[in-house]
Amino acid sequence: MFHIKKLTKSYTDAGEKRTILNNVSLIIAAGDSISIQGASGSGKSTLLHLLAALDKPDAGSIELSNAKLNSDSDITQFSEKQADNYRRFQVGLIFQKFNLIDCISVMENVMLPAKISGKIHAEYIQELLHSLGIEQHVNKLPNQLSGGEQQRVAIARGLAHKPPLLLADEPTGNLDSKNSDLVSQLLVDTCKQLNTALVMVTHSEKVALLTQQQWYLDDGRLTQI
Amino acid sequence: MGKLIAFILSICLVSTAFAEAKNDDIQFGRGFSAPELENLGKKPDPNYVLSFPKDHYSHDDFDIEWWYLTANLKDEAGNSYGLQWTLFRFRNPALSEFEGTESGKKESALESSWNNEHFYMAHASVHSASSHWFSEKLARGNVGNAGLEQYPFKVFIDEWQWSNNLSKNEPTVNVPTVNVPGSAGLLPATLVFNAQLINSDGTTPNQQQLNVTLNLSNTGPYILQGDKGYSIKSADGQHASHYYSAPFIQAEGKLSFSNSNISTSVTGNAWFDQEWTSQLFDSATLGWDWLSLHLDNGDKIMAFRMRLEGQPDYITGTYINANGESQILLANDMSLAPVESTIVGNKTLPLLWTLEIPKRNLLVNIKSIKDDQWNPALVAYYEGVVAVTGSHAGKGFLELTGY
Amino acid sequence: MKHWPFIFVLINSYRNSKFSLAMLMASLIIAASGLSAVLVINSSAKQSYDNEKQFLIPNINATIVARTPSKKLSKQDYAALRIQGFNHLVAVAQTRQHVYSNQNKLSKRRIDFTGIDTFSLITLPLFSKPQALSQPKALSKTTSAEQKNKINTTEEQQLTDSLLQQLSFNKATAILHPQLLNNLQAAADVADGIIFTTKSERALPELVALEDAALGNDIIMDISQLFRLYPDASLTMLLVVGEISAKQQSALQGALPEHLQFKNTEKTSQNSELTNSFHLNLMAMALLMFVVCLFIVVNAVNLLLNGRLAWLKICRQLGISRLQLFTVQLLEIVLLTSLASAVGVFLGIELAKLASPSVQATLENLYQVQVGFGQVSITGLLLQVLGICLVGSVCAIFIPLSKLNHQLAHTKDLPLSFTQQRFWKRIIWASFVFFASLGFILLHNVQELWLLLVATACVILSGCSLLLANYPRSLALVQSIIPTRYPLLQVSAKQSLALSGKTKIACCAFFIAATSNIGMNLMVDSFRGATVGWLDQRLAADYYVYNSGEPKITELAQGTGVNVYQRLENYVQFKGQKIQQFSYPTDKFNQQAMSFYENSESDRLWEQFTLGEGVLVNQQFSFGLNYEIGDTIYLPHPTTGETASYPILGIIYDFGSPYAQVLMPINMFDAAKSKSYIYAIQGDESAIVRLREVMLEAGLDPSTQLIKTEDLLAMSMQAFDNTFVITDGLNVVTLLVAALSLACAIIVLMNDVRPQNMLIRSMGVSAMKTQLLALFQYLQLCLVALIFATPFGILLSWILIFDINYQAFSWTYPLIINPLKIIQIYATSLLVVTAIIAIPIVRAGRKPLIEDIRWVN
Repeated sequence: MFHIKKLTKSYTDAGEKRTILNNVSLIIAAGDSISIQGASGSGKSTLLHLLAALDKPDAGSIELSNAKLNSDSDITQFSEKQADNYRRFQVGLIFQKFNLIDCISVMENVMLPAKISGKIHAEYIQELLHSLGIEQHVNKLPNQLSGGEQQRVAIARGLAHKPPLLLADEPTGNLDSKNSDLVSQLLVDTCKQLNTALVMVTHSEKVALLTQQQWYLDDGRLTQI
Repeated sequence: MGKLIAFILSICLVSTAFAEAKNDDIQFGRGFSAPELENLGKKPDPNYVLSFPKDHYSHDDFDIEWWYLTANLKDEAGNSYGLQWTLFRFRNPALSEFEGTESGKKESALESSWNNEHFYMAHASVHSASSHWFSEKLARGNVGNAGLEQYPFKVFIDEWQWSNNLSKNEPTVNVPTVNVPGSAGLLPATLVFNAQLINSDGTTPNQQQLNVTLNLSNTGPYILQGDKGYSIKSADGQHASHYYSAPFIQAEGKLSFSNSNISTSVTGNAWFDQEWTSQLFDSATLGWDWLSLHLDNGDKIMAFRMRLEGQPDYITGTYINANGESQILLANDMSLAPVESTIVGNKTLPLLWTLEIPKRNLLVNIKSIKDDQWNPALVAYYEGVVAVTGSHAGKGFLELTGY
Repeated sequence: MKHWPFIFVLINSYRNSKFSLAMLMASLIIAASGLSAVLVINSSAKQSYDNEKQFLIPNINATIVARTPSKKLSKQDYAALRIQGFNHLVAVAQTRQHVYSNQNKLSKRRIDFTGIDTFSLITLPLFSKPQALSQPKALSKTTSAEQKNKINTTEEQQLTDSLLQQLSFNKATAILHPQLLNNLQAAADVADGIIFTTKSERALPELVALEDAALGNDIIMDISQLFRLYPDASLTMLLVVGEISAKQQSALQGALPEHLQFKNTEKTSQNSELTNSFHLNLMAMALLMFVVCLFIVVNAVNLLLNGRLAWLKICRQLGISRLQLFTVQLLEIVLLTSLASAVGVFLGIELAKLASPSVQATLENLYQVQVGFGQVSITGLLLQVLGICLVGSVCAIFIPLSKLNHQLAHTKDLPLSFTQQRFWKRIIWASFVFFASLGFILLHNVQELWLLLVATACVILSGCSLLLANYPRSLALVQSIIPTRYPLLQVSAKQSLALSGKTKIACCAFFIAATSNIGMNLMVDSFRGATVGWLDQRLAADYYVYNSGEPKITELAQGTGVNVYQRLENYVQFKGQKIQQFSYPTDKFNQQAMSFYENSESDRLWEQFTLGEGVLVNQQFSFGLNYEIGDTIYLPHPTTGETASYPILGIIYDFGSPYAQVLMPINMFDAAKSKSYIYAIQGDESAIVRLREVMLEAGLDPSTQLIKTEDLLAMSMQAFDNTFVITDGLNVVTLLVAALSLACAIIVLMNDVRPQNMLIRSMGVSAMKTQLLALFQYLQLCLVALIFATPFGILLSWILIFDINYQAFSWTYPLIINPLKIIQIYATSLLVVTAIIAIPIVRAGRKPLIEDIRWVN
C-alpha cells in the first residue's frame, strides 16, 4: 500500500516558479491499476519519479506500508542507498524508450533485475514470458525485435523481480496504435494477474481506459475522472 | 725619431679602435684620444742622462717603447732588399683597471700570472724588388714568450730574437763621451726572424716563408737625438721622447726560405732606433712622416715631420757626419715636403719628397723604390725603402703614419 | 561570403564544446611541442658535433696535453715552445665552476670557464691574414687551405673572430651563448645591473652573448681574465691551430718535453655515431608521441562533431551543402592546427631549454662530446612542425568527418550488416597479413636504418590489426570466464565488447603506446642487465687503476703485495679502419671472466689463444667487418709489428664501445711498445692501502684513479640510468597521451552508454557500482590490448636489439624477458589509464539518476 500525502513540487522555470504538483494525494493499493493523464509538462512523470524515489518533493510524503517491511516508511525521505534498495526490490520501471540493454539477449535482459535482487524465479519468468507472448524471442538480441515486442520484453523485465509496484512512463508512446493497444492491454492484464499495482502515465485516453482508475493531472491538481 | 710614438697611447683606445675596425687596419692619429691623465706613465725628462747598456733595456715606467731596425741590403747578384724589424712594448694601465665589484672599487685585471701591464707587438717586413714578406706578433708580459732580457742581452717575441752575449761585466758608459763602435751591450748582435709572403709580382714557388738571420755590428757611435736624447716633437713642446739611434750598423746575413734550399747572402747598412715616452699625442695628432737616410758619402740623416691639426707641421732632424759627429736640424735649418702623392690600393700616399739643408748644400729628391710598402698590420702604416737623388745620392727608409 | 552564416553558428557553438576543443588543442599542442623539443635538442646537439670548432676556433687539428696529471702543462712549457717557433700553439686553460651573484649560486650545473691566449690567436693567419694594399698577383696559386678558409668564412665566423679579437684588448669581456646568459640572468633576482662573480666574489668580465652552435655550457674569455678569476687554474692544453705539415708535426713532437704529448683531435664523427643511438631513440619516442596524439585528435574531433551533429543537421535542412559544411570545418581544423603548432613550437623550444642541461650533461658525460645550444631557426622549425601537424591532423580528421558524412546522410545509425562486418573483418586481416609480411621482408632484407624503422612501424601496425581482428573473440573469452554469480560483470563484459567497436582508434593508440612501452622497457632492461652481467663478469678484479703514461702502475705496485694485470693496447689500421688491439690475461681467473657472444666449440680455445694461435674479437669487429668464427685475419704482431694470420676463436660482448677490437694474449705485448691505461688490481685491503700510499707519493690521485670494482659498477650503472631517464619520461608521456585518447573516446561513448547505465541504475544498482562497472569495462579493453601488446613488445625489443642496434652499432646483447618487468608495465599502464579515465567516469556518475532518465526519455 502506497499512501501519497499532500505532495507538492515546484520548479523554477525561466525565473518563474511553477508548481506542478500541488497537495497531491493518492492511495495505491495492491493490485490497483492506475493511469495518469495530463498535458505535456503537467507533472505526470514527476509524480512517477517521486514514486520511484528518483526525485524529492518540496513537501508531503509517500508512505509505504507493506507486510514485508517491518515498519512504515516514507519514500521521500530515503537515503540514496535506501532508494537503491527500494528500486531493487519494490519497484519495476518501464520507460518510453531504451528499456533494454542491446548487447545482451532478451532472456538476459529479463533476468537482469531478478539477478540483481537475487530473487530468481525461473518458472515465474517462464510464465511471464509466455503470457506476454515473447517466449520464442528469448535468445534474440533486443535490436532483432520490433518496437512492440521490445516493450513487451520491457514489461517482463519490469516484473521479473516480482515488485509490488510497477511504474510505467508512457510505455506505448513510441508504438503505433495497434501495438499500443496490444502492449497496454498485456501490461494491465499481466499486472492484474500478478496482483502488482500499476501506475501508468499516458497520453492516450484509450490506453487509460484500460486501467481501473483514471486520474487527470492539471495545474498541479490530481482529479479522478 | 718621430716614429710610431703617437701610436700606442692607451690600449684601451686601441682596443676600441680594434673593436670598431674589426678586421680592417687601424689607422694612427685621429680617433685616438689621450687616456685619463692619472693613468699616464712617466714623462720624458729633459735632464735625463742616458747610459749604456742600461738604456738599451726596457723602460717599464713609460707607456710606450720600441726597438726598431731598418736595413738596406744587397745580395751577391746586386739585388736590393729592404728590411724592417720592430718590437713594441706597450704599458697598458687602462687595461689593468677593471671595474666590477659591487663596492665599485677597481680591481686590477693584472693580478693574474698570465698578464702584466705590458704587452708586446712585433712587425717584420722584407721587400725585394718584386715581393713583400710581412708578419706580426702579439704577446703579453709575464708569460715568458716575449720581452727583454738583460744578460745576455735579448729582445724577443717567440722565435724572433735580437740577441748577443752581453756579460754582466760590461762597463757602463755615458753616451755623450762614447764614440766607440761595437760597445755598450746592444751590438754586435744577431737578429733572427721570419715573415710570410703577402705580395709578389713574379711566381715565387716555395717562398711563402722567408727566414732571416742577420749579424749586426756597430761601426760608428750611438747618436742621441734632439737635446742629448730628449727629442721634442711639437712646437709647444707637449710631445717629446727619449730617443737614440745607431745609424752606423753593418749588417750581413742570410735570407732563406722554409720550403726550399735556396739561401741568399746579403750585406748592407742598417739603422737602429730606440725610443720611449709616455707623452702622447692628443686628438690633434694626424700622424707623422719619418726618414732615415744613408748617403753614399757615409753621412746619415734623420728627418721628421709631425702633422698636427690646427698647428703647423713640426719639422726636425739630425745630420750625422760619416765620422760620427751630429748636429740637430730645426725648422729653419731644413725644409722637408712631399712633392707628389701616389694612389696605392685605397690609400693616397706621399711617396716622393724633397729635402733641402742649405748649410750642407743638400737638395735631394727622396722617392720610394716601389709603391706598395704598406705594412698591413692590425695597426697599419707605411715603412719602405727609398732612393735619394739630387745633390747627394743614397738609400734609406720612409715611414708614413696616419694615412 | 556564402559560408558566413555557417561560420557564425560554428563560432558560437564553441561555447558549448569547450571540453572537446580544449582536448583537441591540448593534444595538438602536446604533439607539436614534443616534436619541436626533440627537433631542437637533436639539431643543436648535431650542430655541435658537426661543428669542428673548439672554443669558437675553427680548424683545430691537434692539441698538446700533459701525459700524466702529476706533471702539468705549464706556462713555461708554452713560452719555450713558442720561442722555438711553434707559433700555431695557443694556450687554453679551463676550469669548471659555478657563477654567483651576491653570493647566490646562479648556475644549475658547473660551467666550463675557458681562457684562451687570444694574443697568440689573433695574429695567426686564420684570424688576420695581412693583405697587401695593392692586389696580390701571383699569390692565388699559393693560396693555402687556411686562406681558403678565411675567404669562405661566413659573416658569423667574422663576428666570432672580431669578438675573439676584442677579448684581447677591449674592456675585459667574455663570450657565452645567449641562452646561457639568459639562464644566468633569470636565476639572478635583480633584473638589471647584475654583477656576476666567482665564488670568491671576483667579478666576471662583461658577458657578451654570441649565437654560435659551438658554444655550450661554457664561457670563453681571455686567458689572463681566467687566471684573474681563478688564480689556481692550470693550463689544460695547447691548441694546434690550422693545418700543419707532417714535417712541422714531427718537429713539434720532437720538441715536446717528456711530460707533454701531441694528440690528434678526435674527429667527432665517431662520437656522433654513438650519440646517434640516443637521438634516434629520442626522435622515435617523439614521433610515437606525435602519432598517439593524433589519435586524440581523432577522438577529440569526433567529440566535437558529435556535439555539433544536432545543429549540423539543421544546417543541412536549411540548405547548406554538405561540401560547404566540410570545407569550413576542414578550414577550421587547419586554423586550429596552425595555432596549436605555433604555440607548440614555442612551448617546445622552452621545453628543450629546460631539458637541455640534462641532455647536455648526459651526452657530455657519456660520450665526451661538447654540446652547444645550437641555433634554432624558429621559422624553419615552425614550418617543419606545422607541416607535419597539418598532414597529421588532416589525416586524423578524415575518420570523424567521414563518420559525420554518414550521419548527415542517414538519419539513423544503422548497425553494420553481416556482409559489411565480414568485409571489414577481411580488410583487417588483410592489413595484418600485409603489415606482418612487409615487416618480415624488410627486417630480413634491408640494412638501412630508416627502412628498419619502417619495418618496426609495420610490426606495430600488424599488431594493431591483429588486435582489432581478435578483440571480439578475446573479450568474449574474458566474459566467458566471469562466473554467472556476477550478472552485472557479465553484462559489463558484454558491453565492453560493444564498446570495442566504437573505441577502435583509442584502443589502437593504447596498443601502440603499450607495445612501444614494453619494447623499449625490455630493451633497456636487457641492455642494463647485459651491461651489469658483462661488467660483473669482466670486472673480475678487486680494484682498477686508471693511469695513462708514467709512472707505470706495474712498477709502482711492486712490493705492495697486489697483483697487477696490465691491459695493453695498440691502435692499428685494419681494412682502412682504426681498430684496437687489446691484451687479455690468460689465467683461469680471467678466462672465466670472459663473456662470449659466440665461441668455437673447441676445448683448446684458451690454449690456442694463450699460444697466440688465434684471437678473440668483439661483436663490433665481427659484425662491422663481417667476420665469423673460424675466419682468418691478418694483423701486425703487437710487439714486432710483423703481419701474421690469426683465426678468430670467439666473439665477445663489448657493449657501447665504438671500436672494433681484437684481443690477443698479454705475452704478445710489450709494455714498452704499447699503451696502457687500465690496470686490474687484486689484493687484500692492506695491500691496497699500500698501493694507495705509493700512488700518492708518485703524484697520482688515488681517490679518482684507484677505483673499487663495486664503485666502478655503481658509477657505470648510474651513468647508464641517467641516459635512459629521458626515454623513460617520454614513455610515460606516451602512455599518458594514449590514456587521454581513451578518455576522449570514453566521453564520446558516455552518451551511448548513458541509457544502459540509467537502466541498470533504475534497477537499484548504486551509482558507485555503476561507475566501477564502467571502469571495469574500459580496463578490460586495455587489459586485452596489453595482452596483445606483450608479444609485440617483446618482438619490438628483439628488433631493436638484433636488427636496429646490430645495424647501427655492430653489437648486440641478449634479450632478457623479465616477467616482473612486464607485470610492472601492466600495472603502470593500467594505473595511468585508470587515473585518466576515472575523471570522465566519475563526472558522469555524479549526475543524479533522474537527469539521465529525463535525458533519455
